[in-house]
Amino acid sequence: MLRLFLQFELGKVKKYFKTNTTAKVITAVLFLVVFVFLGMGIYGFFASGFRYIYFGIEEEFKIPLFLFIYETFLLILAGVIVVSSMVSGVFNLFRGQNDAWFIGTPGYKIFPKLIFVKSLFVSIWPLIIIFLPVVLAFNKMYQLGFGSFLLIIFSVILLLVLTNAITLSLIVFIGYLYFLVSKIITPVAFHFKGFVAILLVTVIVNLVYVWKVVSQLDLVRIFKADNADAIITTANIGSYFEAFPTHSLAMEILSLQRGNFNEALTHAGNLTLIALVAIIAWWLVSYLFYPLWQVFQEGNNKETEKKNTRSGKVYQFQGSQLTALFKKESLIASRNWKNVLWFSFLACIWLVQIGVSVIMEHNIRRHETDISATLAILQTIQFVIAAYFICAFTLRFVFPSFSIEKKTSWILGTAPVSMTRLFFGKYFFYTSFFVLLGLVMNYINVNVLNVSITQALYSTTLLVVTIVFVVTFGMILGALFPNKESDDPGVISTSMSGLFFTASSLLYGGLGAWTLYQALTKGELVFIEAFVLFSLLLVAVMLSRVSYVMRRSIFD
Amino acid sequence: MLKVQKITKLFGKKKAVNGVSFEINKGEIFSLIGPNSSGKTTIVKTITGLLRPTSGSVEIGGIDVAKFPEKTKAQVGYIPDEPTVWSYMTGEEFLYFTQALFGVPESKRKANIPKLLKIFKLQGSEKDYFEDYSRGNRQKFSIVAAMSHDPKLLLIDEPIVGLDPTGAEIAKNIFLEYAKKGGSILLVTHTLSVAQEISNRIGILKDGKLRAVGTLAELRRKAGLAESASLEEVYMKLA
Repeated sequence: MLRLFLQFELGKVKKYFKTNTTAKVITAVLFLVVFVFLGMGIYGFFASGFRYIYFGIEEEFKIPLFLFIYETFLLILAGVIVVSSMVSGVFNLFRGQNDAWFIGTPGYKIFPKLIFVKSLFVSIWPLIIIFLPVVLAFNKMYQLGFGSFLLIIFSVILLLVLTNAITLSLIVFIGYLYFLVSKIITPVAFHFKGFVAILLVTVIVNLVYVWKVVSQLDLVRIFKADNADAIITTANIGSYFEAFPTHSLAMEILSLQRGNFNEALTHAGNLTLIALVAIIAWWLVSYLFYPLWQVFQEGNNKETEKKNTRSGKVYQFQGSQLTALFKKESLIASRNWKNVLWFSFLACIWLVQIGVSVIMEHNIRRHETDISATLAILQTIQFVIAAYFICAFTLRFVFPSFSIEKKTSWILGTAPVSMTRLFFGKYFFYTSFFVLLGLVMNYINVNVLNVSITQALYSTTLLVVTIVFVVTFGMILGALFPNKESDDPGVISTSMSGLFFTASSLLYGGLGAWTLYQALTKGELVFIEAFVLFSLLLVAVMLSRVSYVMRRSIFD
Repeated sequence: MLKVQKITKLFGKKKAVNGVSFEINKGEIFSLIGPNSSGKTTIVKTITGLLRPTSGSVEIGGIDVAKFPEKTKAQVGYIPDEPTVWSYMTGEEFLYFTQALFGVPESKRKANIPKLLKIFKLQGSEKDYFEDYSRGNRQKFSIVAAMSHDPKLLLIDEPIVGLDPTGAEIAKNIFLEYAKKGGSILLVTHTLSVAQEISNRIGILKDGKLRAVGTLAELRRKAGLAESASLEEVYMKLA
């Protein structure tokens, strides 16, 4: 069955390349080039970082600082994998397209195992793009042997296995628990949306807990920087992280760095043990999958039994056609759980950056550190991160927004609504939403750094202009080159036009960051003025071509 | 009401529709029948404005679809062969949304909903999401949505696929009633019994070309069949 599944997945890839082969091959090669460059960038960044700590940091700080970096880096990486596996896992397990035929075959028992393999395969990307360059940089710095390199890679794979196993076990276990509770306590309705909401609440509760812990972290106290006589040990640092499964891997890397291969093997052994426990947990919990999958199929019938019970707002689409289209976008976006989860996932990663800023702010305030010299750099970094996330959000939600309407295009396409209005219904929704989101995030960032009003005004203006430009560009490009083969936003985003959008918007974000840095350090406003003027001019040109663009879209 | 003149539609090098012309008068039901890939759906989509003809023209109520699409679309109600609606929209919201798009006055929209739901006895399911509807219920909502703005022309692609026998009967009666009141219908179907039962005239399409057009009696004569011959027999002979 596994072989059949692999053949099927391979067949899908082959089928994908059968049409528009040249364009798709070029896109794949370009992606490879981008990944290689990204990997090289990460390698360079970490290589110089390791070198700086190795030669530039005092001896007694060095080892604990290394451990602190490993622990936080691995924890963030594992957190990202857990949330990403949760989002994809929920839908792959219970809402996959055409899965009913598989569950209907005698080989249905293998299904959860296949989803585990799929989830593992998908989460390997951080290993290839992020971790491999980091390990190579680490290897170069400490001249570790091939054995050590293999041991780290093996352990990272174990970490992926255990995070995926724990996440999928949690999904099925929570789902089953929810089912049991709904059976015992009848007013508790059992349906997929309720399940997703429970998972979302679980993630939020955990995030709030992590936030509380993290925001209280006192870096000075951790490193005993306020006490010259105190001795910092790795045990001090480790004690903050020993509850997390990533601790063993962090300790293993540190042992290799110190040249203690046997100790590293012991930590790898610990990690193997934890991974085994996670796999056994998944193996046991996977027995609950089939009955759970079956009751999720009943969900729809249960719903229709209770006539007119759906509470909540009924959209009546009052107002003009444009208002109706705007409201339709907000309805579809807010009720699509998959989108909500993906949005939450990206927002979580953004929150990590804000979390780091909050820790910094706490420590700066507590120890009255003077950061005026680095304020411009910090503010520029915040802008770069914000611009990156705006590009990521636009790529995931705005760029595919016309292509995903393929099956429902008959509704809008046959209505007496001008193509321009159809465009602006979407455009106003996404622009206003992302501008609002950007302003909230920027407000937090600006407050954390406690910058002057003028500095805050610079970054806010640039961010709003960047958002408007990126969203306009993404929407125009998405409408101009609609993907007629797929309505999966993941696939649509990886098309050649998606890649072009990614590269161009990131470059544009970089230009915005440079402009901000010039204004903050040299007070050069001419660059900001030019950037704003140039961007608004381009936005105006793009919007003036809407009717031509829409003639090429899926509505024609 | 509808005038289709020599429309041709090319998809790449493939000719899906080849110089098709026909007219539908006020109060008339015209059925287009033909084998798979004969160009039926392409013709309907061209009339709705979802597709642009490679050559030829379409007029609705004397107005050119290509030149004034908004004006012609306002007169048309379209029922597609695959009535896919946004999964997380309820049936009731879909009816409100369709009316908003077609410019039905706000004061009338709310009052229309119960009337529309009553047609197929959809009361009680209007607050469920489309993802929870059966194929038949999706079809029923798409039919009532198409009629919600009192169109002058109905374009129907496979009207009764997925409908239960009662639903199919109701649908046929609605279409007959609609035509009786002066509405025009273009019906595209594989269900020949429905076409035979409700159509005034029928067109037989094959390989993108209209092979024969006329009333059932005229088609029987053209096929050289007896007056009692069914549309199925006529179709087998002419298609």
